[in-house]
Amino acid sequence: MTEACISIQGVTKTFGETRAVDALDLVVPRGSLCGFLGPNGAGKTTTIRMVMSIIYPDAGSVSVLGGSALASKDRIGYLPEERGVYRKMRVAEFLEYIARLKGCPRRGLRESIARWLKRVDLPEVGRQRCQELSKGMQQKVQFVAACIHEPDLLILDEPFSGLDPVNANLVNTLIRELRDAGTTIIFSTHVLHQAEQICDRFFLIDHGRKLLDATLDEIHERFDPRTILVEPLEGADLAAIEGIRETRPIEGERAVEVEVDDGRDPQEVMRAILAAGPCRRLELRRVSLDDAFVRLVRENAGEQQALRAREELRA
Amino acid sequence: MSKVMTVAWREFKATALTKAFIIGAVLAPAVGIGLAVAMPVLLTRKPPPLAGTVAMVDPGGAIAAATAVEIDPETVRARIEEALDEALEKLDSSRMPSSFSGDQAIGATRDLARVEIDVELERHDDPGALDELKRRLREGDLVAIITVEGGEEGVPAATGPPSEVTLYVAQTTNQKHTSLLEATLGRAMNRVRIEAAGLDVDQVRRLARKRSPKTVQVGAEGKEHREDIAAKVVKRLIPMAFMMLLWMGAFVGANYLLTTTIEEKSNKVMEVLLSAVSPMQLMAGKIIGQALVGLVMISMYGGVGFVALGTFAFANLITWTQIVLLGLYYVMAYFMVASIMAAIGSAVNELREAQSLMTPAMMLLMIPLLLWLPISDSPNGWLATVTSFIPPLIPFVMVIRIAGTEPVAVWQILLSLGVGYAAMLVMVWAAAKIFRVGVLMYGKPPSPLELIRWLRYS
Repeated sequence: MTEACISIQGVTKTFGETRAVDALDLVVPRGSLCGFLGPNGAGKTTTIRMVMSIIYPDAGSVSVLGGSALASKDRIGYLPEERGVYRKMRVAEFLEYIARLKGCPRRGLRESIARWLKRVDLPEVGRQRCQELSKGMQQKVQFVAACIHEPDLLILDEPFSGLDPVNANLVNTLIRELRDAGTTIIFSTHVLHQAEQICDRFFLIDHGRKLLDATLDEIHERFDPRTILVEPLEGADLAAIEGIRETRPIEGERAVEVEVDDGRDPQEVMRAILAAGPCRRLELRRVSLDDAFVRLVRENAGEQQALRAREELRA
Repeated sequence: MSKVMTVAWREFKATALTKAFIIGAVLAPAVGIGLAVAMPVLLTRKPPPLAGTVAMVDPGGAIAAATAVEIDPETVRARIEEALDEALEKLDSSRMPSSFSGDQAIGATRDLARVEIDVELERHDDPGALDELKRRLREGDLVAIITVEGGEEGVPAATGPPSEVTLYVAQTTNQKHTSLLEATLGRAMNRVRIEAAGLDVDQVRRLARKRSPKTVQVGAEGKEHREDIAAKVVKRLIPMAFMMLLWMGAFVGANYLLTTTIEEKSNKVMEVLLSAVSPMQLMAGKIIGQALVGLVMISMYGGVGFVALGTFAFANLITWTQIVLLGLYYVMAYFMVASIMAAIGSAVNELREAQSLMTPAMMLLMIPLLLWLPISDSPNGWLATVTSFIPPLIPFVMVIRIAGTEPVAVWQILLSLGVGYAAMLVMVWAAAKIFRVGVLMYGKPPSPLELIRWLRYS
């Protein structure tokens, strides 16, 4: 865990007028499973592309696997957010092509492809053309394309988008297996709670700037819980209680989430809720990444931006 | 390098090993080769003999008498020999390179020469017999009916209108037989008039034969040679064939390059590729792969041309030097066109958007087609010389010149190769710059000006 797999220092990248990444510092320890998080347009893909040396920073340095990003290209696996396959190519041919481009020797490649297709539960598709596969199947094929050359570093940009729960679960298991085998994995997503479930380290960025770089424990330590889950027995008027910033209904449940104002003691608010009427459930929620992110945005950029960030996270 | 070759091989496989390409580029020329080989065999096929009775309704009798002379098998044969000579001379003096009339004339007379004739003339004087004759024609009892109406053919120094001669044949009559009868009848009418004027028919015809001078080229080393009649026409066509080959090869390959690049962009596979190879490697691989596709195309169509020339014994008109130079100029032309197409393909999201960027490029590349005629007419003229050193035109103009009849100065060939290859490298470099920026650029397609601005991006 001590050695750095990726080390980004003071990296800035501008496209025309837009500053996509702004003086970003980042260190990804070897063997970790890092969540690379932020709303759409935060600069995640741009950063990843620089790590992949697809584009180059205007300023700053990127070092990957102890060397230049370019030299390590063959040791990195990449599942881009923009998914694509050659529609007319056969699945096995496509995987062979990508693997050959990644420097895999021809010997044993066929067997390895067959093994991987079996692993993602697509044992029979090798002879089929990519366009004959469903979208979810294509996505799994692309996941294989990112892993086929057994990379030391695997970058997954939104790996679960478009997958049904069964397949999402399958990919989830594969990611854990790869992590256990020692692969460093970067998991980029705007769906923070997905990352929360599997990652051991989190980077939150917004507008090209780093907001957070911490483990889950550190996050729990740093952000005291400010969300209360309430399920009143009968319609209690929560709005009347002081110290509540916002009340959000939870879909499909009778309970609501109550956000406590900054500077208020959540315990005190809980007591006030109880005093207002009997509750079926009342609990202080552990801080979620979403909450932490919104709070960080609020601290950095004010309430307006915080509301925007919450909207974006829900989208 | 192995990555570049991996890309090149996939590019070639994905383009050339498809049904559409195999049919268009391999099967079509293969059928062409087959036809070129089969053509002489087809041409020597013997038409059926023209045998039977021809009814002739000629109250005056002059044309009927002349027809009897003209339709005699010996007369027909002599006449055909004569026509063949005339056609060959016509071909010799033909100035238009694209004129096929000479070839057709030879072909037609050859066919006629082989028709065996055994015809009996059945004379009638009464025009009222026509209905009955037509019935016999329908029933197959007659081969044809000839009617003559009015006119004063056969009357010495006649001044009135010529008589009206009609040839009736059955719908099923062989086309060659019809032509033979038409020609014979024409000759008969002609004969009557000459005789009526009191002249000797054979003498008049000998005198009326069109004659053309022979052309001898005096070479620089003092060698003189008489041009082979047909070879002259073929030689005129070779420069165009060379340029079309080059054009086709360059465009087919470059066009596929455009579509595969756009495909990779629009189906988003580009980013996966770029995670494994650099944009430069990708572009190099794609260009090399499609160069092979173009080469397959050229070899197939060029091969057909070569076999066709061989069949007609003209293969010696093309030298190995010309083929080697064609290869060199093909590489130049292809890389120039391909770099333009790669740049355009990388910059747009869909084929539709490519059209607006293609227009100026296509206009530039249409120029060689317009230049073909003036340059092949005067391969060492000022237009040819000047355009031989204007980069995008160099390969196209030079193949016209080297395939032409006049030798091109060696220094011009060397200089054009030098200038051309230098310009080609600049174009490839510029394309690589645009390609690098373009492949990851989505959204509004750029204007040609913006493309040029991309050159300055690092």
